[in-house]
Amino acid sequence: MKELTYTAAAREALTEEMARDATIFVMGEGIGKRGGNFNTTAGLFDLYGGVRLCDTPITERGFIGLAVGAAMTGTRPVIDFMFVDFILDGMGEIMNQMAKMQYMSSGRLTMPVVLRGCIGIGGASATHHSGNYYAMFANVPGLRVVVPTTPADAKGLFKTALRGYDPVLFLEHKSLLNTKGPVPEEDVAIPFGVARIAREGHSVTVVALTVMVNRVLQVADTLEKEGISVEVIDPRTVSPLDTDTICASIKKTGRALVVDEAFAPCGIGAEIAARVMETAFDELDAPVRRLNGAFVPTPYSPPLESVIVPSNDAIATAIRDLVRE
Amino acid sequence: MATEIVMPKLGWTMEEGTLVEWKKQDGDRVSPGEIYMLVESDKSVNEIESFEEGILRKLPNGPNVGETVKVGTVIGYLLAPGEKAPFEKDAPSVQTSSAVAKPASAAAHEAGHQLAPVLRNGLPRISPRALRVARELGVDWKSLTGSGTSARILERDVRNAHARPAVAPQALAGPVSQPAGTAPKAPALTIAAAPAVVTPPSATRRLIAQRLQTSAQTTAAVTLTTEIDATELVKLREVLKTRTGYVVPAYTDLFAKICALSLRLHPAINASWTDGGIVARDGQDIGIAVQTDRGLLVPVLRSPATKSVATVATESAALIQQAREGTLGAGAMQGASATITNLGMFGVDGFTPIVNLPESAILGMGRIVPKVVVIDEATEKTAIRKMMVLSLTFDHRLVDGAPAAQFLATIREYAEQPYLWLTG
Repeated sequence: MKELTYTAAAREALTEEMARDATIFVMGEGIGKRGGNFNTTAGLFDLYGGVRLCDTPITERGFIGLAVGAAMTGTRPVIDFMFVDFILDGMGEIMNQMAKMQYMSSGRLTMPVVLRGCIGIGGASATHHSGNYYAMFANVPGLRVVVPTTPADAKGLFKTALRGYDPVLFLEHKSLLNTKGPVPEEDVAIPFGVARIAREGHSVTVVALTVMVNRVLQVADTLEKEGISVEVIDPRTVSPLDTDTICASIKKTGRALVVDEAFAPCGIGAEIAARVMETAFDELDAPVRRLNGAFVPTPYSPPLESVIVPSNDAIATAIRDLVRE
Repeated sequence: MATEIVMPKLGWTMEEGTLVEWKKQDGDRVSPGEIYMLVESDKSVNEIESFEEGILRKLPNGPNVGETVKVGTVIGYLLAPGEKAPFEKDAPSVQTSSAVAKPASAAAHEAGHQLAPVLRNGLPRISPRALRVARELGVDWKSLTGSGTSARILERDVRNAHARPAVAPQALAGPVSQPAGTAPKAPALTIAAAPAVVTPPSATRRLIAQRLQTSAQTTAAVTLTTEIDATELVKLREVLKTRTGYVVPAYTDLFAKICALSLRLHPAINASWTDGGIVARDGQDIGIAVQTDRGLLVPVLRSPATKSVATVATESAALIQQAREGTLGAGAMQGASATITNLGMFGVDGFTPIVNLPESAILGMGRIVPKVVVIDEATEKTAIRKMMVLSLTFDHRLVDGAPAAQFLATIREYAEQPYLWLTG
């Protein structure tokens, strides 16, 4: 094990996979010599040159379409969006072409594209740089949606993304980029659709996404002293979503809360609640509860920004209420 | 829109309340500020006034007067004129209002407290998990109440109900009592470190353990002790012993008769506490605790008050023999009004017997021992008398201390002056 930041771990995966597979190349704004706004490609230009680290103009729809064509010809494009909010400019290419191409070609064409970038609220990034779009992408058949929380998961899941044949949304919460954690020395690819039990417990199951995993873990330590034993589950990928691990946990606890910074309506929490109701109804001792960020555009003002995301206090209250229910 | 009337929460600790009286009748108009019912909680009766205007409709399957229900239980509705109640056909939806009731003495009113509706289709709400577990364990959940803030019956409520043995009155009227304060150990309690010999309890032992545990945990047991002068009873037996052709009663027989006669004067003791209410008992049958190889058995002497001492003694000797031989039928151990237990032969004076449910009293007999007693304080006259301690345990849920003490005083009077009843 070694200690790496989240960004360094993901970069290590990219570096290793680019060395292993010459068809992988990166496109994006300032990802060449500059090494990426978030250092996602720092040092790679020197290793692999300007063809495989291809700077683009600010033309999202254009280079997403370019990636679709490149993938059809047998290469593996990685598009680094910096902020995923701007991927929305190319949604037609993603939803109509990239996601449907394998189906339309009866599998003759594959679509190994990785679309990566920052999501999430933090640092007064304001409404055009704070979106969490994974629920929207999870609603599209053909896309894989990955939301790693730890450096080890960032590396292991990125490797799987770079070795598969489906388009993958690799979404990195900006508050996690500089968090450190142990990363295995060996070459580990983490399969999609396998949740991580971040903490074992028996009173209540809390499914948390991205940055909320770490908040819930902090709260769980506090609640342990109150006699509330929280099991924390990090799905790691929201498409595919590991319902089995969640339901197995609920079989133990009888109660579930989903904590998600993203919006509640039609969100991942809604999907989890529905699946739990469908497959584990008889295990529920209380309704599945959700705790989400406010359903509003993200404010620029730091005090306003801080109150629209679930705080540690709000998480603790939600868990206490659910356990008493 | 119909407004629910629920059992109000009148204090922080109030969990259930008793409907004492409806001040308004079904169909009556209720105006804001009017008192429409009385509710008892924590031993005080509160007048409940309405916040709203409407026609009172009582829930047909709601609580009767005198019935106790959980806080938040729907007991009726306030309706607009001409509006149908939700329990009637084609009724519109219900508005849940926790503010519909408040005590007239508003000091205890607790604003904003969540009063979750408990009933749905007349049944309590239950979580899917609890329902599944109830089916697996065969627990009848319809009589349970939820322990969480949702008032929904939860898995733990079902499991607790399952762990608690159902106590049917029939099973209680049975074969065991407890002479001394020796609480049985639950068989599950073993000390891991000690190389103890673990013996599975016999069925009788298990039953004794279960029933005494139930009694110890459910009754509000209080023990009164008093020292009595048993000299006359001792004399009575000694005289009979010197004659031929007379049956000599045991002290237990004498006290069985005395106890039955005393119960006649104190019918409040001759009753049982049940979930349905206080059940008064006819007749005065007396159980007598008998130690046997199989454990403690309590055969019942039928109506010793109406029989001669000789008859009582003959019958009790037969019962004791049957108990020791194991030929006693279950029916012979049921239906007692009270039980007598005698540890005098083991040198015990006072003790704290455990009430033999569903009875409400048990009389413990101590040893009879000669003592120097002050006969007249002024002349400093003393005498040697045969003294004895009686220990009466009673269930304070049913009987208060004063009537229990009066009952014991009658027993004492009859024991000290047997002519009072021997000639009766």
